[in-house]
Amino acid sequence: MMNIKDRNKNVILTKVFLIVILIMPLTLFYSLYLNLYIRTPVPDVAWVSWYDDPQHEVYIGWETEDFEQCTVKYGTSRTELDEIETEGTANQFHIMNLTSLSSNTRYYYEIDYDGKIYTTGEFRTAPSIYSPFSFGLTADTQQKIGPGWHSHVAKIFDQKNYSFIAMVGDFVEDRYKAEWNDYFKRAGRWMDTIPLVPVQGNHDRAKDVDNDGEEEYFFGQYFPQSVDQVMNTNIYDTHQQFYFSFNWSSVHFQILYFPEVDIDDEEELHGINPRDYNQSFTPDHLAWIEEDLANAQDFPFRVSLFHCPITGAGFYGENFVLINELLPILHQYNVTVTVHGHAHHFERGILKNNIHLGNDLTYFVVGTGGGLADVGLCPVPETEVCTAGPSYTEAHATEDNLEFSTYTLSGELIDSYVIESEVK
Amino acid sequence: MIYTLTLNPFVGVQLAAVLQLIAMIIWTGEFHKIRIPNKNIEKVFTFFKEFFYNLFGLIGILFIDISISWIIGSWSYADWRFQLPSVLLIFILGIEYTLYCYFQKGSLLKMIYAILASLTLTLFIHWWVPLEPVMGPRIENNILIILGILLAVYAVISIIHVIVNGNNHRKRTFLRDYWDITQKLQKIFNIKVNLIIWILVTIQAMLCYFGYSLFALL
Repeated sequence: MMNIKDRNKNVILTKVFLIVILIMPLTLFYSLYLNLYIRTPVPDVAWVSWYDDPQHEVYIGWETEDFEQCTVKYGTSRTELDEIETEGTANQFHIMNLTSLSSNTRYYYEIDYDGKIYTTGEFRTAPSIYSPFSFGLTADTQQKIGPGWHSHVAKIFDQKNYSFIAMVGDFVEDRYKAEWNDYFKRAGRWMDTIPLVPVQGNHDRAKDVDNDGEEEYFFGQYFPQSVDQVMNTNIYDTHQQFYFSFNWSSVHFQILYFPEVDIDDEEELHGINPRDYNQSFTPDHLAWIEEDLANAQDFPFRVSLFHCPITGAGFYGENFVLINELLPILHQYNVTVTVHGHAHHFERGILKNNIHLGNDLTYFVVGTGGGLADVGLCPVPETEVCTAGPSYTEAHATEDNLEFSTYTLSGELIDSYVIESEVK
Repeated sequence: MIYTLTLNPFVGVQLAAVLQLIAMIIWTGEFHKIRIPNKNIEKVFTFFKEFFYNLFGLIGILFIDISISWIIGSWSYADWRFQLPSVLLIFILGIEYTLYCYFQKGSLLKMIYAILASLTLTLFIHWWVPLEPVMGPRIENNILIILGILLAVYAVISIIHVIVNGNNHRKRTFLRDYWDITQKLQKIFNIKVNLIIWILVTIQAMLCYFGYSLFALL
């Protein structure tokens, strides 16, 4: 017979056991799953992107764990990769420019080193005439608390036939190397068939992640296409401003450097963070934006991609600096659409053009690429639709129309919007 | 779409998973049934217990606010498959927590407190925070202060209750219990129901991180 003391002891042990069972699922999830990504090694992934002429020139980028001298074989047939380029020196971060390409042509490539195939892939160059095409838009895949739904989005993109995917900033959160590895591992699902157009976010900037007194700038090592030529225009001008432009069919795309313009810095005049402001609003950057847009006036559509939204329903709200200093330029040159990340939700809105009446600017926030969703939303007067669930956005362009559609990860249409060309 | 700040059900369900886990631990360990032989220590224990309950009560109010805001259209209906399970779960938990905390026994003082706390939180979220264009710092800098003040006020009420409980003849209109629905509540929100909610809310909280939900899996 069990005495009362033993029975009490058993009751207590049972309770302790049950409590441990209760605690385990959440603690294991938060402590293991949300931290596994920080051990991701360099994946065998390559990406295709370009400078200013995707009809004839692209680059392939990839990374190896050690210094390797690699060879790229490429050609228009999967079985006949008759063009061969070999790197001059051994590197860890590899960039191979492929030039003299034919427009609107599918190319296949293979990267080798030490007699082994590192990875393979394919891409299509831009067309020389206006022809319909689609592209994907996403942003903020950063691993704020774990990798989020980046894999889920990447899995969907892998099924698409986009000409490219624009990643509108914040690939990573804390800029550690393993985070970048994790990004490429997950995005690698689609990178072998779809080129990447990178935009720099505030979390992608240089940072001294290993506390050795020198900043690591992985973004710049992965993506070399910035046209920033002027440095030291002010003490914050570190020559890491990332901006460039290209044409694809009927659309002129502009990638700008406005990763973050903080306006709530209590210790600074009008709350404006001096580093944010002086890095983005350099005279050469602003002059380039105007010149580039002036040269693109014959295109049916002009799309500017930059990370920090001009306004929006997220916690950053209306940015009076961008409204006062950048928006008039965009309106002046009839920019059709701007696309942003930074805020972790989807939003579409209209910014009225008071310079050219009727040529209103449509803005999109596409920061639902995988990072933790916004804590809350408060629509601004310009907001037409907003939601903070996981989603992705795709655009279909013709000579006359530019149609944006945003879907949930289950495939339901959240929003669809068509913009007609002003050029007739 | 309503033009005011509303919180994301995604955030609500993460908070709910943690709170429901704490509730299940209390229930499993039967910590709420602990009897303290010393009356003075019992008063202190009761005070902290009430204080702790109130945290559930306040977050319960937040849960109801998030659910109602989502349902009346702050969020796109297209993402119902992702958000609705979170909304339903936090709505049920919001009802349970507020009922247990403020309406279990009909004390006028507690009900007045619940109404004022609801008003304070509603005004804070939907009016005061959106006054600032950059809302993030305003929430970060003030949410704990607001919750702290509300908890402190409740602590005073709890102290009054603890003192008066020992002196029944001093109970007046505001402290009297006008009803007691403890048994009904325990029947509806019993351990089995709470266990099921805990399982669902835990799975939902985890799935959300991957962009899935209980409905997306169906």
